[in-house]
Amino acid sequence: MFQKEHKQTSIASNAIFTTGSMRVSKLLPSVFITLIVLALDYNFSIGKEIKSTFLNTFSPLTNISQSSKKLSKEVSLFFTSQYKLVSDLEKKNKEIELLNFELLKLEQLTKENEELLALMNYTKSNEISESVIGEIIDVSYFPKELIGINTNTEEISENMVALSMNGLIGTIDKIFPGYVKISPLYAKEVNIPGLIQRTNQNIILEGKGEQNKLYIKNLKNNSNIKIKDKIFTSGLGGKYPKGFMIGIVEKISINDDASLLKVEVSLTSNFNVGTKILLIQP
Amino acid sequence: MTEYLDKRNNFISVYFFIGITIFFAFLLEVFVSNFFELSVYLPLTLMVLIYWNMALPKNIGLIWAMIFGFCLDINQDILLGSHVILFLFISYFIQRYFHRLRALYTIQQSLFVAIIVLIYQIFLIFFLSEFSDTVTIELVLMTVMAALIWPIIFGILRQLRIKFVQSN
Repeated sequence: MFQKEHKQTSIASNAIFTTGSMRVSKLLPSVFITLIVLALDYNFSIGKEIKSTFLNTFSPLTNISQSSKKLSKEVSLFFTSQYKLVSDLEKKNKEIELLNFELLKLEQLTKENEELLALMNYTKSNEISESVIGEIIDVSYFPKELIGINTNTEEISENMVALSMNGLIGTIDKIFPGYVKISPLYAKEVNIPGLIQRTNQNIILEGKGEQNKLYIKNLKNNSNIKIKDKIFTSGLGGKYPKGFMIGIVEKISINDDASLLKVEVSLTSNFNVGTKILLIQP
Repeated sequence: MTEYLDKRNNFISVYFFIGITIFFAFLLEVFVSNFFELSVYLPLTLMVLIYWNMALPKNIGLIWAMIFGFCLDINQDILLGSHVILFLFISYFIQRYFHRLRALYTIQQSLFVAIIVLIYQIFLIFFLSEFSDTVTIELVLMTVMAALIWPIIFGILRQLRIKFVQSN
């Protein structure tokens, strides 16, 4: 009996405490809308322009706090003997900042010159018949890894390959007016005729979409291959120029099919490093 | 005859009065956060929102939580909706249990607000990914500050409500 009364009291107290309270059904539409906005902003950065517009609108407010902070600092310093010293120090710091910026620009310029020099050296090679220089304008990772290159597309053909200052990096994915998209060597279904430097054995390397990794196709388990063997392009097939270093053998294991070896080659050149690209045809 | 219209006008004025107070809290929060340049700051907008959710749950709804949540996201340049989600869940929680919360002593309410602020700040740190060395100290400091400031915010908003708002 007591239990029943206690239960009734608890129901009554709950009823008092939840009368007029919000129900989940009222919350759900707002949460749903917010989640959509969150997902859109996460995937497509839809809020970028809204944010920049609003940040400009809010900038007076931000400036007020910044300038009031500066003013309070100035006022407190004005009454101290350190005032001149501190202002001199600030001036010098600003000068240092400017000089650092100039230094950064010069370093960037030196790097670009080094890149151009390395690419120019490639064009002297007898293995290359045609070459066009381009500049990296964007890098995208979704749905697949690509870099966009600003170049003279009239001189470009679809079977050209891309070289950076570090070596061979990719193949042409698509040509657009004024720019081309380059996909990496390790993209799926890319086959590169290669050569093991130590043994002069011809092989085919294939990309499986794993970053900076290629796999040797159909290599028999009695093949003479060691870890750290260097792999170069063989030039067979005529798509890739001969003699360019591709990578180094990193891992050797027995394939599911016991008669074959699974050989992992680590690429020596990074796909999206640098600012200039040379598109070439052997 | 005009009773219905009077009630409606009163509702609109209450609604906008709430909005104005949250707006001022938002401005103050932006000002203070820019002034101190900490990775954790005092969430004045949230605290004012908590007060109105507790005091006038029927009048506030969820629109102000959404509007000022988006404003804070834009101001801090983080994923749109991060603040909004937190504001919505906190508003819901408070509007669900406002009877119980109103009945608490001020010190208990301060403790409750401090816990909410702590959870809110932890979520925001994850959204902002600002893991600095001093973040734990700042987190504790701001939670304690929130607990200390709550009675002041509560007092000011209560006085304002009594003076300007005639809610049903």
